[in-house]
Amino acid sequence: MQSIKSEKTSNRVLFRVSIILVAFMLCATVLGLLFFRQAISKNKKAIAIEGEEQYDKHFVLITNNRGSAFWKEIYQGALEKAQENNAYVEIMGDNLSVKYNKNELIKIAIEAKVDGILLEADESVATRTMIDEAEQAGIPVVTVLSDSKRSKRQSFVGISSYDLGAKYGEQVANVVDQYYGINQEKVDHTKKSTQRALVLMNSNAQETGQNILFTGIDEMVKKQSPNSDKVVLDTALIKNDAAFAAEESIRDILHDRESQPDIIICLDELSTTCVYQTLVDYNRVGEITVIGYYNSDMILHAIEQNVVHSTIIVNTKQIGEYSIEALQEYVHTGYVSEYFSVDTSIISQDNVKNYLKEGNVENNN
Amino acid sequence: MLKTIIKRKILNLSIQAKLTMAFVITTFLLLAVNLFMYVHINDMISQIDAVYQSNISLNELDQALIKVQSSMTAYLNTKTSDALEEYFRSEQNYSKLVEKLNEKTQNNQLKLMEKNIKNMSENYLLTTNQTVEAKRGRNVEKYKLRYEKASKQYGYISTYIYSLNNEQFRKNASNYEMLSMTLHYFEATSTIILIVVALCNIILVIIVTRSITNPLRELSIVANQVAKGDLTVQLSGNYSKDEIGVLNKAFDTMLTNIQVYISKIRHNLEVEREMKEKELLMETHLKDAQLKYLQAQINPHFLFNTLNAGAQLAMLEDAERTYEYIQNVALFFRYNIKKNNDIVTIREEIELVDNYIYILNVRFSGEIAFEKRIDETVLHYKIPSMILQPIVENCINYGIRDIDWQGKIILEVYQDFEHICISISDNGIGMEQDVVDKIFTKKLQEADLSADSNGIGLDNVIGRLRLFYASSDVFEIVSEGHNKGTKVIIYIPLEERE
Repeated sequence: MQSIKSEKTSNRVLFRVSIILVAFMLCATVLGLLFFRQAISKNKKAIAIEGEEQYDKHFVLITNNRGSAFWKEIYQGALEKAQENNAYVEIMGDNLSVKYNKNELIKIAIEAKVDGILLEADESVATRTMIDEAEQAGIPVVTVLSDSKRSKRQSFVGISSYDLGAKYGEQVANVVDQYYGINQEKVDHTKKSTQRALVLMNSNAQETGQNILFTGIDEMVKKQSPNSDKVVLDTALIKNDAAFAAEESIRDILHDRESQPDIIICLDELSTTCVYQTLVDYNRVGEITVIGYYNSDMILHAIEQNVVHSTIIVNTKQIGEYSIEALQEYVHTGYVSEYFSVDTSIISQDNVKNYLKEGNVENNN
Repeated sequence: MLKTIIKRKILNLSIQAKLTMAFVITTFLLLAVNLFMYVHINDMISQIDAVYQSNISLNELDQALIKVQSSMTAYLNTKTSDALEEYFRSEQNYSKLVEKLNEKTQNNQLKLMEKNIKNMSENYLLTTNQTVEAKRGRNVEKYKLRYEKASKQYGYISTYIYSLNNEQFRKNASNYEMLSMTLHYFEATSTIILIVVALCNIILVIIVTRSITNPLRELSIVANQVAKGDLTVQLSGNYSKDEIGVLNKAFDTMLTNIQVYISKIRHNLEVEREMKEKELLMETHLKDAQLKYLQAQINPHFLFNTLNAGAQLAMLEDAERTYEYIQNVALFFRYNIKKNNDIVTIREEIELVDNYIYILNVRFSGEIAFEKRIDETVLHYKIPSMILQPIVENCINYGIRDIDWQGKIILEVYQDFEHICISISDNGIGMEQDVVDKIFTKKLQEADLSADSNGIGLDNVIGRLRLFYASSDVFEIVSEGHNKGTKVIIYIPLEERE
């Protein structure tokens, strides 16, 4: 009887076990397949050519400094704004095997029948010709940051050169006042009689913008500093159209210790970085006050370490947004205002911490 | 509730169905898993194909572009109609290929490049057509200018195609990497699933086969026990409805039936044995009676013949009473000789009693009054022999021998509902109850019997009656006490021994 009873219970157990087994198999299969599905879908998502969204308008951004973080931020701002308005911005020539120059890229853009061009222009005739050609082909051109005033471009988005100059001038005045002190009664003979401030200018000399900027610096220094009579403003031309030209020019300028300036004013990211690196290389940190441009990680760290005195930043996102706004406005209305002004601000030792903390990408303001 | 229903249904399946179910379930699972896997493999293969297809088609596009340019150049060089034909053909081919390219603005660099290529190609083809047109119109200035323009455009386009090809290849390489990673996932997943399913399948098959073999095992164990002679074992009543369940049930029923038969046979044997015992006892008693009788009547034949001779002699001498007496004695003895068999009629028994009383009355000069009240209709009923005479003898010997008053014996034969009753009563000294009890329990010793007895005691009579009628209620002794006489009643069941 005992064995029979145990037989019965064992039968029941077997039955249960088999039910559980079948259920387990099903679960394992389904879970395995689900897991597999998920693993695949992750890859599928990655493989699926990212974003298949379609847009009405196709704009291009043409600049010589595609790789710089500064332009990337501008592009980002432009892209976001464009996407809001059912348009897409392409950085022209970004992944081409041949490095075309700006004018060729404009030509390609015309050939490719894009709907609008954002252009970091210059005052050269070639550029002006290309802009005009684009206009003739019915493609609106908005110049960004640097203008081609005599061309038929629709609008210019940038910083007012005079304002920018005033900002630089303010900084120069600060530096000079720090050096001499505001109280002029005592003349300290251990100090130099003058402070030479060197503005590193783009070699495209026709740019009136740079002249205006220079004027801005000069006037601001005179207005703000009681020591303005001791400031000597000077300019140096940096070639930045050829490859590596800027870095070479800067090294040339700083090579001779005798003729080195007391203050260097850099008007773009590249020259700021180059100056910083050259100072570190030549071991002249502290001898020259650097007033830079843009807020890359490197520049921010340089400010923190007191290698660079201060840097002027532009609201890059705003530049991108404004340029797209200008293009859209022109495309839709056939008319757009000639000039969009973008905000600037200063990062110095006092507020560099905030920017470092926030991380580089987001600190546009 | 549902579970038990399902369970019952499963348990009720036949072996074939069970086995089929097990294999079908497992096979189906494996099949499903494999199918799923194959579908995904196909999917991935087509993805890989697509990855490289884009490169292949770009190469095609590049070739077509080169052909357009070269055929145009050839035409410009030679102005042959062959070259022109070649140009038109390649131009057509190229524009057909270009048509397939993306023309929408999408947030995808590669698609945008495609769009640019398409637009540039349209312009390029326009230019080449114009160039060829100018060449045909012999407009040297124009066709040279346009050729230059076309060449420039050609340069841009081929750069774009080349770059796009590169980009795509780079992307494809990373896609391929992902695909191969997916393949690894796939491999791992499918291996694990297959192993799990295979293991579970094995266990499932084991369980199913066990559920089939378990009842068989139980059956074999029980069968072994039965073979060893233990018929009390039983299978668990929980039969499945399959073939083995039927077998087990049949086996169980067979066991039960065997047990029933065995107990029946045993009972029958018991009854038979009892019957035989009874018969033997009867015989023994009869033999015993006869033996005792023979011991008493040394040679009845001799005695009978002698008495007959005496009777004839008395006849010759005209001694009527003597003749009658001797005749009665002779009859008395002859009964014993004649009725050697054990069953006689009541009439014969009563005749014997008559003889006996006559003899005794002659012997004791008519002291005994004998009265008969007999229902003549029952006299043909048969009873064992030598029943009544010993009782009457007993009455005389113990009841009325030593009394001072006239002894009287009454023999009654009558019928009630179920019995023929034979009652023999006397008016003698009676019997104490303990003596009655002693008679019934055979405690009365042989020594207590008087020397005059012909040797057949009451206990012998009672024993034979009881054996004969298989009942203990055939004999009754009633006495109301000292000097109040005794009554012996024999109850003969009516339905028997007619």
